[in-house]
Amino acid sequence: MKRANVLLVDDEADLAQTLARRLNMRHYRARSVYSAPEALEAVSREAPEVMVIDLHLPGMPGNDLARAVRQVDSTVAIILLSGQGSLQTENWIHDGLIVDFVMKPVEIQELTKKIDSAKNEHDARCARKDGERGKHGQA
Amino acid sequence: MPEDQTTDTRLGSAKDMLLSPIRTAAAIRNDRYKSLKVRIFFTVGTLAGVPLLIVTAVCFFWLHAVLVDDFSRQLRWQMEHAQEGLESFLQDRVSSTRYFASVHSYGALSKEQSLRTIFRKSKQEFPELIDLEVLSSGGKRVSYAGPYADKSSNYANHDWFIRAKVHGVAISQVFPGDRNILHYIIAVRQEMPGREGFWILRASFDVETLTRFVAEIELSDRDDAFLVAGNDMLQTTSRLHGAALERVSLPVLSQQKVVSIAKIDDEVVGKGIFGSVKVQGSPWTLVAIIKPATLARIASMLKREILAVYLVIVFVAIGILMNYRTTQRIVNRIRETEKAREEAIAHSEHSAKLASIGRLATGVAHEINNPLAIINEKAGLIKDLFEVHPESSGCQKEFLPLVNAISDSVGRCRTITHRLLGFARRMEIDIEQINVNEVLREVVGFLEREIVVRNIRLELNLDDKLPHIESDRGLLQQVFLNIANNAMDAVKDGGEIGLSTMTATEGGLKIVIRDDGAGIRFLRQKRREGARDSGFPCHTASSSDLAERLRLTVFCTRERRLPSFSRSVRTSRRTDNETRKRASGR
Repeated sequence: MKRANVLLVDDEADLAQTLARRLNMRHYRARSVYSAPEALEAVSREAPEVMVIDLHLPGMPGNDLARAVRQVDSTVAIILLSGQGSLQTENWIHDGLIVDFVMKPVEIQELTKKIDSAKNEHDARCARKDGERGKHGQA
Repeated sequence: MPEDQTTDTRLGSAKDMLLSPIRTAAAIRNDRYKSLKVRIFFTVGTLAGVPLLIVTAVCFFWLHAVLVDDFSRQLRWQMEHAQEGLESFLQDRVSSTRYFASVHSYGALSKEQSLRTIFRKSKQEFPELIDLEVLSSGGKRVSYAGPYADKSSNYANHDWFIRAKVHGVAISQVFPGDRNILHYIIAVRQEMPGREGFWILRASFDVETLTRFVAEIELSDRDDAFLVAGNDMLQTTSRLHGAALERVSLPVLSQQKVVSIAKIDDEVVGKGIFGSVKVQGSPWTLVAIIKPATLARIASMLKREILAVYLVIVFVAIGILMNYRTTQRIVNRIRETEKAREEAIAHSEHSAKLASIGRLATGVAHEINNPLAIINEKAGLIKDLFEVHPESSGCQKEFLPLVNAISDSVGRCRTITHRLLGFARRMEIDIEQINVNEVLREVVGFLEREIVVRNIRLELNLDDKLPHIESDRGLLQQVFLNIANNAMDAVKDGGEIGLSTMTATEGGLKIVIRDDGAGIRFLRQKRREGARDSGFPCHTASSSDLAERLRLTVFCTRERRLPSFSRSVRTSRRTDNETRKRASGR
């Protein structure tokens, strides 16, 4: 299976870069950005399949960024990088805003597993989207 | 019977046993308050009544004395007036009799024709005159004028005759005589002209004249006035003592010319004022007894006044009492409100402190988490590089254990920061579906370091089929942590702590936290006194409020199968709204 195209968003550049490098070593196509505006620009330009967004971003919280990203590209599967899980996080998953969350510090095996699951979700969304387009085209 | 119900029944009876001294003490306090109320009531009543009674008694005696004095003076004045009249009357009759004896010769008067002429003329002047009689010195009739000519006797031994013979004049007592008509006699002695011897002119008078003089004393129907001869013989009719000539028992009568006044209280007369005065020149004493109705009315008048004043005092006292009670009620209400406000402020401050601690913990955990993550990823990257380029370093075997040690340490730090974050987050009220077993496992996680160090044996017996409940995870965790901390403090090193969960038969969950420690001092005391299981809230002050908000029922008890007491926490399932209300403290 082709590894996911991942965009990491965290204001801790050192962390984001290291994670991106480790993912790349595992044959993911990972890239890191360090702010919400950069992330939105990257989404428009590169169309990542999976995004890993830190919840505590300066200027715009991770959940708001996720909402903005979904407006640009509704197929992107977003994983939230958070200090801990909460009922709010559960609600975001339930609402489809994010597909999963992972707590810092994260183990690479756990992260890759969640990225793979998120890639599957992204692919499914794309398939659904294509299907809907096909229906509209026939109509 | 199910074990839970048995335990509950046992707990209930034990609770009753433990509370019975408290209830007895409360009953004693209630009795004391009742007794105090009665004592205060009677003390206040006495304090209000005694001065009133004293004042009333003083008023009574003062008024009585004033009235007695007033009536006495009036009586004295009237008696003096009557005495003067009577004495004047008698003096007049004596003078008239003496005049007849002196102006007429013995020879003329000894002839009945002449005596009758004088009698007729005198009768016109003195209607009360009954008859006239001239007596010899031996007491025998010489001549007679009057309606009882056939009645004649020798008067030589009569008292009045003797006194007239000796003193020249005498007034007799009232007596019926041979004529059987009440009368009295005025007798005057007259010397025989020109020779030795004397003769006596006797005049009889009807007693009615005396009665008229006595009646001049103004009396009411209750009073009495009469003439007495000697000390005990009535001379006129007495309203209280009977007809004339009856014997009566009276106080010592005055023999003086002045009126004597005294109080009297005997069976015949009753209470009254007694006055007596000697009628000079006669054998009589004028007596008057008055029983003023005013004196008798003093008591009843004062009774009414006492009642009125007492009622006024009672109403005033009731008014003051009501005012006092109302004031007390208002003050109590203000005090309670103030206390509730202070408690709310204290609670708010406590919550604010907890929230501050939570925020501080969150900040610290977040700040530490990022460098930890970087360290973790860098260490991971080193390992990745060793795996990708195994030939890049000859010291790989030495580096890898070091990197792994770094990763392990990061993992331990991560556990701590995650716990901190979880604990801090739960400072705020957040109702969610909770698996109590997970909460207990987290609590154990906080304590596991101490458990290992102190070699405490932890027995976890958690029911996997435990239903989820809706509650606040953080608050529950605090409650369990407090109780578990108590257990940790109670056991010795190497001791045993057990945590178990189960579904309660009466609904809700039952969480048992037990230990083999020494127990709470109060429980030990009760155990020495022979009490069996004890059921009473034993959670600490800090968890008390939390338990209240979460509707937890917390009991300390001592089970038979355990070497020491255990703590059991029973929760009950609630509706979502109830839970939220309770948890939010609203």
